[in-house]
Amino acid sequence: MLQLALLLVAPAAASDVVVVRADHLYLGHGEPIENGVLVVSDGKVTAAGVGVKAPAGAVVIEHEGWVTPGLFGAFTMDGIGSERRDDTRPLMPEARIVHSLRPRTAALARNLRAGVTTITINPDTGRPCSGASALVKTHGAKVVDAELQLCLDISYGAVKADEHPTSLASLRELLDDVLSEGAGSFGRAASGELPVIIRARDRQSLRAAASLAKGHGLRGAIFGSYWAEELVDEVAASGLGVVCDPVGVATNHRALRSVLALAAGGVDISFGLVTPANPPENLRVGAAMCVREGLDPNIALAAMTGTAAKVSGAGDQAGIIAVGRDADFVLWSGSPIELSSSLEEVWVDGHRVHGGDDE
Amino acid sequence: MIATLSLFALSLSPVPHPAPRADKLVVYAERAYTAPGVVVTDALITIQDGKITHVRGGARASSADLRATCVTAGLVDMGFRYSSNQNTVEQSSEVTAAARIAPALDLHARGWERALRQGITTVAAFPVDRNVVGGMGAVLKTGGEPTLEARLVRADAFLRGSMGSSPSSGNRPSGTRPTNFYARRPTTRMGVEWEWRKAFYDAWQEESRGDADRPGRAELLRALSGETPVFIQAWATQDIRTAVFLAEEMAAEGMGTMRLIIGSGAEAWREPDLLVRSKAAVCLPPLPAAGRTTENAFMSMDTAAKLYEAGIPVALSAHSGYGSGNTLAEQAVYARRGGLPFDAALTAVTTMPARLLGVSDRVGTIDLGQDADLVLWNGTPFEFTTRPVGVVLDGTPLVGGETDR
Repeated sequence: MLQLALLLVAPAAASDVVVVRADHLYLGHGEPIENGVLVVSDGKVTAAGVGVKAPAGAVVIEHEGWVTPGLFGAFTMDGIGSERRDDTRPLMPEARIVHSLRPRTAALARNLRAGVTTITINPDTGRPCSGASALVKTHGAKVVDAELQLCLDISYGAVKADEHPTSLASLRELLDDVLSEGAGSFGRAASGELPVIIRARDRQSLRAAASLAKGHGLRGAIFGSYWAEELVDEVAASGLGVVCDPVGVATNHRALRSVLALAAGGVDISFGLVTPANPPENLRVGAAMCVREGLDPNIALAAMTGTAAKVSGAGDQAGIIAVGRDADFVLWSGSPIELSSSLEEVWVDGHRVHGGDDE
Repeated sequence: MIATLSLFALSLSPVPHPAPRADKLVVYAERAYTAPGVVVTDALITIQDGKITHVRGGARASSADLRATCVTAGLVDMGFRYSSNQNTVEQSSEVTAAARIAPALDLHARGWERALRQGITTVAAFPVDRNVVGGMGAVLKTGGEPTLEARLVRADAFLRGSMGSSPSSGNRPSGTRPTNFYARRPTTRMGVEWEWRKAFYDAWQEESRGDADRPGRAELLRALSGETPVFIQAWATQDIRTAVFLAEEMAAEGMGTMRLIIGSGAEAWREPDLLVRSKAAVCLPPLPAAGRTTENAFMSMDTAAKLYEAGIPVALSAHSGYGSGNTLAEQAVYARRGGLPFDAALTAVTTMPARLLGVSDRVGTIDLGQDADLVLWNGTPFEFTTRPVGVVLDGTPLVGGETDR
């Protein structure tokens, strides 16, 4: 098929117009399009949909399978080694995790091989405010946004035994105070300019995260879905999305129920990648398990692509195939929700950067 | 005798999160212990919108929705342990009078339902006793809609703190350089008492001088004046003495008359005169299996009876919540076995804790206008062979069948 395509390429235009015709084209939201066409030029998407004509001289790829946006990996700690968090202070709002990133790291390549083209790299949780996360492409380690989200932790994980705050009450009060004072990054978070991601690990902290967001007008996400089942209404009312705890093979049933309850309650959900603890291949496994449990497959697809990027405050930069956006996409033999589907090609910025599972 | 569980024609099962409350409910009991010393036979209790609207005796059971052999008011446990988790207490200072318990509460936790199933409908919640002054405690219902708004009976009901070794143990850095705040915390009972005294003196002097306000001062001053009670954990004799002496010193200095409640006062029986003199109340811990409690204090079945005979206000507690295995009804059984009269036992698990927590206008008795919190028993309460077989909370039957753990 590629040979056929090459025959059509006029030498002058060898340039860069690529057309992908796919049985199923999923744009990162809504329903997959049957017999969709994707046109890429100069690394950007120039057209996507049905009945789009291939420009003269374009390289045409006929793909019997699915094309989706490059998957979005929310909440990773890839490429930062052990320098995940600075423990000297409870509040480091202006710290940026991107300065711990080693660009040539196998972790990024591993994401790419799993179809994950964009990730957020987050400072580790466990401090009330651990700094700013980064939005990074897994091919070439391009930093798309060095200050993506303000990372907060309102759970027992941020409560220390020998340092203020040692109690959930004081932790809440501390975050309330700094957001009210509104200095620096806290002010940008409180004005809604800088999205937040708030770690929650139990029902107290889910409730606290929702009310913190409501009280200070925060936008962004809660990281941690496991205990959300009973608190869906409060989370929905907060306007925050949820980066779900990874769902894996041996997952407790509650984890699945919570993901489904959040989706049913109209909350934007994203499957957390949480590498390196959780391998990137697990992203699809989690989605498949949730679909098996009853989650709408289109919500599951969006939770790995468009909605995932939106929840992490990167909706304008990643997650969907749309005109004018970076041409980051993946060719699959079938739906990525089906675990029997294999990954065939990964494209980033209009270039094929990985040849698939056989490579 | 009416079959105890004919009530469960409704086939109730324990429901932690109830359906919306039924508008009206009528409960029949062969004997309703509506308040200590008051027994209504063939009682019909009418409940409307979660409140008791009518109680009459000599009635027939036929019109009742629920029927039981005996009924009492919902039990009140002021020594309830919501959690053993230290994240309920702010330890960056040893005196945190302004701290509140609410942000640490998980209202979906199993402990609430466990309490409800054994007939406890109202509890006190407070920080784990790792600080000298831990903060303000609240009073909550154990069931119903799992929101603070729905369950809170009284916020800031008391100031909670501790004497003895709980706030001082583990603070001595062992042969290392003092690198964290444990190094400056009290390491002895002497140090704990000093912190209490300093906290009150500082608050009082700052107020007298007109210093700028700071968190916790208002709470300490309200405790000093007796506006809010001071609930101090003190298991052993010396700690009970210390708590009383503290209150007496504050009074002698003209700083106010504290309302003192000794929590976990296992050895209060050794100091009856002191307690009577100070008008302190005592909340007893659950009866230990082998005589000795925490802090190596000694307590036996007759402890409650001894305090009662001395005229000391006594509340019983099971310290239940996170799985202690004790039930409050059992504590009343042991106290009865130790010589406590029935009415005093009923008082100690209903009206006394309700009064000490300042919520007796809502709970503790079966009376017009009171919250409709009822325990249905399969026989005379506080007998070894009797147990709760149903619980009504705010007018909603929440528990029925084989319960009490």
